[in-house]
Amino acid sequence: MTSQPMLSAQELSKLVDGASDAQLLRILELVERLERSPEIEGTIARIRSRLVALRPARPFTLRRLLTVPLEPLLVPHAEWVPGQRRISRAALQTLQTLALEAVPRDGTLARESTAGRRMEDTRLLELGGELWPAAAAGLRGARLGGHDVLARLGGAARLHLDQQIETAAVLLDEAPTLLAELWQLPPRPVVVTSAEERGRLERVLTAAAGKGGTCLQVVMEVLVQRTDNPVLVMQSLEACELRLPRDQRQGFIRRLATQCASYLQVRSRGAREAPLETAAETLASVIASVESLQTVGASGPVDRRALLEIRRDAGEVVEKRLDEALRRVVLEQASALATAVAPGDLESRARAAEKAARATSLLVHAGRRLGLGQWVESLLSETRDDYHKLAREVVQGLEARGLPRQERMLCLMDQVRLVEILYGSDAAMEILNEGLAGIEPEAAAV
Amino acid sequence: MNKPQPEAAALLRPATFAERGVAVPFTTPVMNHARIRPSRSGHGELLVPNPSGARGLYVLPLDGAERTFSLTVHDRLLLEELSRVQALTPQEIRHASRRVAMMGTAGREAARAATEAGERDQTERLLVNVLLLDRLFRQTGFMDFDWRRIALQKRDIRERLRGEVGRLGPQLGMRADEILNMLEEISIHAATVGLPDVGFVSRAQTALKMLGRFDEELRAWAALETGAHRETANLVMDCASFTLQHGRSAIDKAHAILADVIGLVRTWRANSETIAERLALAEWLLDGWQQIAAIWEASRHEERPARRMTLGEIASMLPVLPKDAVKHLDDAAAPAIQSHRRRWVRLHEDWRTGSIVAADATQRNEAVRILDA
Repeated sequence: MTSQPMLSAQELSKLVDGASDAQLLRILELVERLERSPEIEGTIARIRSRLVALRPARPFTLRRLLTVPLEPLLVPHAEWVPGQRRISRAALQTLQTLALEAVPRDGTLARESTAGRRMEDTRLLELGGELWPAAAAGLRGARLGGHDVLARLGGAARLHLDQQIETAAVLLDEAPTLLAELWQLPPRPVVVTSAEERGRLERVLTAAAGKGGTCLQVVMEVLVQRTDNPVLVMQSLEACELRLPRDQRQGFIRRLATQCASYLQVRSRGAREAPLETAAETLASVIASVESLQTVGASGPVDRRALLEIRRDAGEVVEKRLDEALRRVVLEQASALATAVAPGDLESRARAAEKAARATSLLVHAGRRLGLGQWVESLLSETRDDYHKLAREVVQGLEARGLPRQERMLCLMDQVRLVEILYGSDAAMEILNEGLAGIEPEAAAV
Repeated sequence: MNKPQPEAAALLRPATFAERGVAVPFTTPVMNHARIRPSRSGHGELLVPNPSGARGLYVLPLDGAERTFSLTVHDRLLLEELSRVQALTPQEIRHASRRVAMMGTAGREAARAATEAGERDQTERLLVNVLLLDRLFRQTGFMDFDWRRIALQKRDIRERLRGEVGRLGPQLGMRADEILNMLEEISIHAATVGLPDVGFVSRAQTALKMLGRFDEELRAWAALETGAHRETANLVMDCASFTLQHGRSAIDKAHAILADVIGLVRTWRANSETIAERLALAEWLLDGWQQIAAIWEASRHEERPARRMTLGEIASMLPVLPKDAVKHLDDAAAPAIQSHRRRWVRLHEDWRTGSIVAADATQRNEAVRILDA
């Protein structure tokens, strides 16, 4: 790299916090040109959930192409559980290195990977068709041949990496057909499917079962992680015409149900300390999955006590996070909007506050789904006045600051929008009407 | 996905653009793609797509929407503003929705975008006014007219112009004030399409460009689609291409009218309504398409399955060409919109109100407001 923009990891962290989606994508372009350091990797890890949603078109590289089939089963290291068909992000780099050692460094792939092109769906399947089988063979070869990297590892660590190599190799082998089928499914999280889509699920599962138990397990995991209704996958497996004895098929379903439950438990507990937005999304997804699993009869494959325990855990987390969000996090962000700052800063502060409010609103929904409705309503009615009072103070403060009318209107509307997200538009209209009387008495009749 | 079913499109096709109504950029998810049109009582009425996703529209009085649906603050204020609008045209609806967005009801970014778009419109209107006057001077043989004498930045521009324009009076048979008023009036209608051979791209031309880009991107995206998804994409692309072709032609025809300023000034008084209609045709044709292009643009970072869902939404909101418009277009073979109705109910969504995920959907609609300010 000949010239690099001067940007420290701290500056980078500051930039990404509160950046809009468009700004974030521009920052990412900049970061792609930086030499990777642990700090920069850490910053990227923090914004990964946003990047997943944004799906930026990133330059094509072999590592990136290799990662596409693995993405469905990649989990943060803290969520990785031995024995499950998932791949820890911490193991990704090792897997990439082992796989790419077996890939020839000439021909189309090499040319494409240095041409600075963007990844697109068609070329992706075409080029992947060349790379993935070779990479799968490379991984298996490294495992069987006792590659140095593996030989250096101790007992449990070696075992864990072996499991992930096996999962990755299956994913890479299956990628060309599996990805094409996955792209035809509804957007994630899949909740309901049409007859055609169910047929697709069954085809995928039948094909995987034909290649053995490991392949079936991996494919089932891939499908489960796309949905918040895991029973869909279990029902599809039941409906498949498989050459599997009934008890063996039930065994797969039971194993999947158990793994689902244990994964949900891990996710639910992880939401305790996660950033507010991640926590809210995780809890909403966990609750939907639990509700799905609870629809299976008592004699089904799901351990109902385990599900109740997950609900209890999730309930505790929702209570803690929602209370904290309404009484402190969003309120503080709303107060910060009232202090004098440059308009650009104000815009990013408002964006961040609205994000937090939306996450809070999702927690409210999660609480209601968990049967905490009464508690949620009383918390909402207790805190509503705090926001109302704050909005009143903001309007009074605006008069004193002598801002132009348009800016005063925007400041009032910042508060109104937060209240709208948290308490609904009726509550927001009350604040708006009161505020308008302060800003411009003749317009107060709105 | 269900195969698109032909509906009694011909029977349901509105007779005129006014009857079709104007697209309104509401942010409440259940009000997505609603239109407003004049009602028999003289007030506007709303046409809201059936919230279940089935065929048909709800026709509501303006003040009925708030009683029927749980609306965002933005939409409540927008309805207030719409109730004060005199003429329900795309231009007036745009101005009304901008006034509401400028208050910050759809967020600070949307407020900024609305303010900038409003300023741009004003500048363009003034520019068109000046350019029409300039052409009028040249076409009437006053080649010596020097704009540097006028000092456009000064407030008394009209006073200064009156003297110069007075020289045209005898030729046109009008007083200076009459000419100036008329050109101001024409500029209001002409600014949307712009003038031929001048340096700025008008709003209609921008909309055409946006639609062209949408059509191009959709074609590239749809190349990988098969079956019903491909059919849906084809339907949207057919309609987009048709609109592009006739939109361009409508702008060309408007430019032809504006090229002859003497003729325009002489005929305006007697035919102002007809001429204004011709100048506005491009805008009526393109009404709703900028929103469609913005919705597609806002989904550009989503996965293919999510974009399919967006495409389904777009297919259900394709603007239907009125019978009257089809009759007046050169090529009457407008694509038959076989409305393929399907509603995707997302996780955590109450399908009747769109609540819970409404926060996300509202956010998407606010992003569309920024792109389509």
